Amino acid sequence: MGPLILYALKAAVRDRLILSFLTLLLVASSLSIFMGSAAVVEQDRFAVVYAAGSIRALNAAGLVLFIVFFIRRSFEAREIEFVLSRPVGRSALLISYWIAFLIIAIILALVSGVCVAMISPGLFSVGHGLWVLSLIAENMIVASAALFFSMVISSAASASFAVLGFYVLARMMSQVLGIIDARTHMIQSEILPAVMQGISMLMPRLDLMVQTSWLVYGPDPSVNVYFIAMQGAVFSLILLVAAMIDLHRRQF
Amino acid sequence: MRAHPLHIYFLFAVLLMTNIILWHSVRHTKAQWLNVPPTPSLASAQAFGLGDTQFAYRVFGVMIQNFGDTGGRVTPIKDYDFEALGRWFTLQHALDPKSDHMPFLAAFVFGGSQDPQKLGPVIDYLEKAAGDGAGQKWRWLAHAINLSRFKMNDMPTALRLAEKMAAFENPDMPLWTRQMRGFIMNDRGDKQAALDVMLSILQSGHGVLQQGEVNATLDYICTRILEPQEAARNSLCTETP
Repeated sequence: MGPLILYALKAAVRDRLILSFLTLLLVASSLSIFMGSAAVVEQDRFAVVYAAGSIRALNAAGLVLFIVFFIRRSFEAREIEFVLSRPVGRSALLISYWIAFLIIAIILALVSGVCVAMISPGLFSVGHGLWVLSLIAENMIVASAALFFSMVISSAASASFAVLGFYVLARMMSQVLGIIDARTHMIQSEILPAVMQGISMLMPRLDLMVQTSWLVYGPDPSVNVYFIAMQGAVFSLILLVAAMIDLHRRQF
Repeated sequence: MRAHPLHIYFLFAVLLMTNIILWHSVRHTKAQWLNVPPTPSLASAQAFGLGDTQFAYRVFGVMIQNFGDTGGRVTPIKDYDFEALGRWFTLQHALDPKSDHMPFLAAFVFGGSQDPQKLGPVIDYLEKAAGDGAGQKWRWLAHAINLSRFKMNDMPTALRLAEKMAAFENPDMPLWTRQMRGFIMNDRGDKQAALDVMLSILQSGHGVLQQGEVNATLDYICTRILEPQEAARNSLCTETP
């Protein structure tokens, strides 16, 4: 498993993921400081919120694009078939890639945390630690989702859109649930709320994670750290196992 | 070397010229500002930040700050739709009631409108932003009182807000915040009520108020509330060291 993990990590460096990420991090931070300085008061708070919000999206986009294109390229170049022709099991192959992607996800989250802390050192608090922790959990879920979708969808573009759609829906889940619970006049059907309720059961609650308000006001008393950590671990494993089932059913 | 067909170059030049003509036809057409845009619902605003409420608050905050002043255009604040602006304030308050950015804009930017009679929504919002006056939030109510008293000349509203501010249970508030209702009563000619307020503050603050605060209060009573002949007969004014 070790060489396969190392191979995926080297691919991240070779594909300029780290370099591109650092460059975009610099651009996002600079733009955030510039935009934040336009505010008449609380400039540091504006800068840190803009930076954290955009860096969060940058983490997701970077992971999705790298993982999806790496996996699809491995299939198209028959690298997967070559590896499987060696004494490596299908599960071991997938777990190796998964571990490598999680390492990348954690590295990106930690680098992002340092960057956000450097933008507004005066606001540094426990909230920063929680923000980084939940970004790690979110990145783990996004990386696992990218692995899953790139295994089951043969087009790289379609798989990327699928993961990004999954990501946006997961971040909007509180809105969806709120609409269902409110039973507004817009929902005439009884089936639609039930369908959405079912979908929400299969989606992570990313809306409860990586909140920029924690960076400004500290952690909200309602934040459940255990839920964030558990959701990151459990949902990543669900996606890994789902991808594993797909790989075992696949005919080469 | 292979010769390129001339008609392709000709077609390219014609298309390029057509594009320049099209550009010229709309060169002076610029984006129009149709006044303060409609406010999204709270759910839509939260969706804008993809579930990150604070991010949505900050993005809308700078947008509201620059309403009407983009693309080389400057709009006098009096031309803004203040009712619509008030709805944006309410939305922002729902997104983040702790930040001071929006109250600051309301008090110092939009509160400076050339048409003071439009300031009702600003005053309503500042009252909301003050909350229960905790920390430094009471200042926004002081701004609301200032706008209603001196810009709108709306004494009943100013007095109502001053009474609300005096009732805040914030020990860090300075003495003048408690005295504000007395100042307003005095300004509207209700001298006896103003005197009662000031005397009650002096009595309840016995042993607590600084000597400077006592002296300032006595001076206000003797020179601003009481007429000179009344002051000459009042022991507070005659026996003051």
